[in-house]
Amino acid sequence: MQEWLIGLDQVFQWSNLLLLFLGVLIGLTFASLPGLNNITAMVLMMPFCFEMDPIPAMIFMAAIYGGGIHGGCILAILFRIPGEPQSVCTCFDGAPMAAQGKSGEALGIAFLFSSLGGLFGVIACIICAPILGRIALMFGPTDYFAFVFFGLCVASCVGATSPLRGLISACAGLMLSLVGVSPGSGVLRYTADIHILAMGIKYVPIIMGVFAIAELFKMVMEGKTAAEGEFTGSGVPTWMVNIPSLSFIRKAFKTYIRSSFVGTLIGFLPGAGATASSFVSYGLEQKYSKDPSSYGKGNPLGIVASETANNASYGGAMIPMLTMGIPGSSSTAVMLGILMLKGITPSPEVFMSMPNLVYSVFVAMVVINFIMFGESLFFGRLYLNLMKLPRSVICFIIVTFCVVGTFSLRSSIEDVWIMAIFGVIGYIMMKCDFPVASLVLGVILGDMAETSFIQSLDMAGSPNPLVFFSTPVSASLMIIGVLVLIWPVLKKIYGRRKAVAA
Amino acid sequence: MKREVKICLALMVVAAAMFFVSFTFPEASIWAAASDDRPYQTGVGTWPRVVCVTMFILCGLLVLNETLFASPRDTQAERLVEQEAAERSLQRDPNLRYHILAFASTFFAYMILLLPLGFAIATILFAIVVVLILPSGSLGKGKCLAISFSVSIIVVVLFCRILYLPLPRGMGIFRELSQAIIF
Repeated sequence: MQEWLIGLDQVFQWSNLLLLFLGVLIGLTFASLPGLNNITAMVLMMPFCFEMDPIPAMIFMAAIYGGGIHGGCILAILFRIPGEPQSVCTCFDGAPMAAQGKSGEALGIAFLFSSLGGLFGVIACIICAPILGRIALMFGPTDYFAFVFFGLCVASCVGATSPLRGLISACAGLMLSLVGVSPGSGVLRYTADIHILAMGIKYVPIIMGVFAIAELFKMVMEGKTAAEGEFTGSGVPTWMVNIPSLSFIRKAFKTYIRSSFVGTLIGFLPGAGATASSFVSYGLEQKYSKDPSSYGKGNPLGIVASETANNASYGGAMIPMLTMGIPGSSSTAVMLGILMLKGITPSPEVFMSMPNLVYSVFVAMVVINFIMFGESLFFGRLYLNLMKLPRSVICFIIVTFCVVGTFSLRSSIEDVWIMAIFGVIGYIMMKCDFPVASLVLGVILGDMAETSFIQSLDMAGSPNPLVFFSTPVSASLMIIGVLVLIWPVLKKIYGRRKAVAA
Repeated sequence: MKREVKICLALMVVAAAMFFVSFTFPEASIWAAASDDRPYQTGVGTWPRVVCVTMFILCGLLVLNETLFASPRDTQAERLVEQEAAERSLQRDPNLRYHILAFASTFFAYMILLLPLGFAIATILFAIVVVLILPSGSLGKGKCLAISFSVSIIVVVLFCRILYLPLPRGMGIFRELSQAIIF
């Protein structure tokens, strides 16, 4: 109890509160601008942390990290530009809601449930940190491969009329991740002596292309640029961020709880992170919803699932970093770097040896979620006013933001061309009903899948596929993944037999 | 032949090509010690082959499904839906074909000219051309042009001058012109 009081005392000092407000503002700003993200923000602010004491430095970095995860939904909803991979699923229902004139409502839902999801993740982190940290270490390569397989199976059902098309998209994503340097051995593959391919095809141009640019092509092809101000839904479009009503919160409560659990549990796996948690959460919610066909067409619960999970993973990702010194993501790697600069090595004993630091960070993480909600309302209103512009101007803004976001990655014009090509590919995929989400997840998880696949077989000492069923976790995930895929087929066969019998 | 079938056949060809190319990658045995006790090592080409074979099988299943099991009624219904969607698009925008061609040309021209002209000049030109070629609705071309030009200047100043993002500066005379606009 005393440690909590010390933590509260530390966080609620004027200087630390100012750092919290500033950090969230910086994180939100960087996440809502293309070409920038929360890792860039954290790295840029690192020099300021050199002169700070460990507690203010960690509080500042945690605030930037939290703000960064929170801010990715703004562009995803308004312009269908998922600046970060974890905002991809928010696009699926957020962008259609914006097209229906419900931008304010979509942003309000995203902001509220991001904060609530973040709060859940932080509380789970506080309660379970020592235990979950040890469990994270028990995950071996076979478990990671099974997790990737499970994630791809669930994602194949997201936005697809049939899981087979989703799997083909996912496989295409895995094939794209093969281009470049192979992880572990450093051999160049499928590069055809082209310099840019030797560095691999990054997921940022692909995401910008298949989501934002493809949607732009779709808008032009369907003649929607002629209809400024016309929205497909009924009602007058609103230019305020609408905080969801109590009745909606009650309706979304179960989705919130499930997504929070998924986000926290997946977030604590090092390397898995916010992206996988948002995909898995969205896929599961769609699958078990009473009206799965409404997902991807502006169902607010889709935004709840995605944003809750990706923010809940924020607390989960801190667990392995604080307890084991294993960063769960690039952002926590930066935070770990700061701790080590201050001469602090995270370990399971850190709760005993440095309770002031740990509990101050926990209290800060709780407070951050409230500050995020407040500051994002301001940002949301700022961006919402951009939507009043004519469609032709919005087209230009989307293209420019995508070019900036893509070019800034490696200062390479080839990445911009890759984005343009994937814009065309994304449009063709949309017309032919192949889900782009699975393609993106395949690209993102491709390296992890290959590394864990190779390590699993090398540790087994033979190319035996049964090694992926050797642990309870891997066997369960593989079987559940297969069931998720074949469930629609089984349901269809059972339905036909029932009809014949009747 | 349906579009999906064509795409799947193309993917099968790509997967087969990648499968055969994977045999040209240097394998682990090249570096392993010449000893009978050397431990098993998964080769560089193993995972690509697994992915390519999986892709080939999945595409094959979809091709079979679409050619053997798809009912003609479903195919006809899909064609009707597409025709109706095309008619609705033409109703919204009678000059649709011109707008599509013009926008696609402008978009790809912007991608190509980004490096030689620089981000500042290319973006401003793109902003103006997009407003000229696409419908402006109730606001009118003049107002839309003014808004677009202002927004493009704000975007250029924000990313190049305030945030100092590394964006193309152009070549030759366009580089000097870009510097003049930004600074």
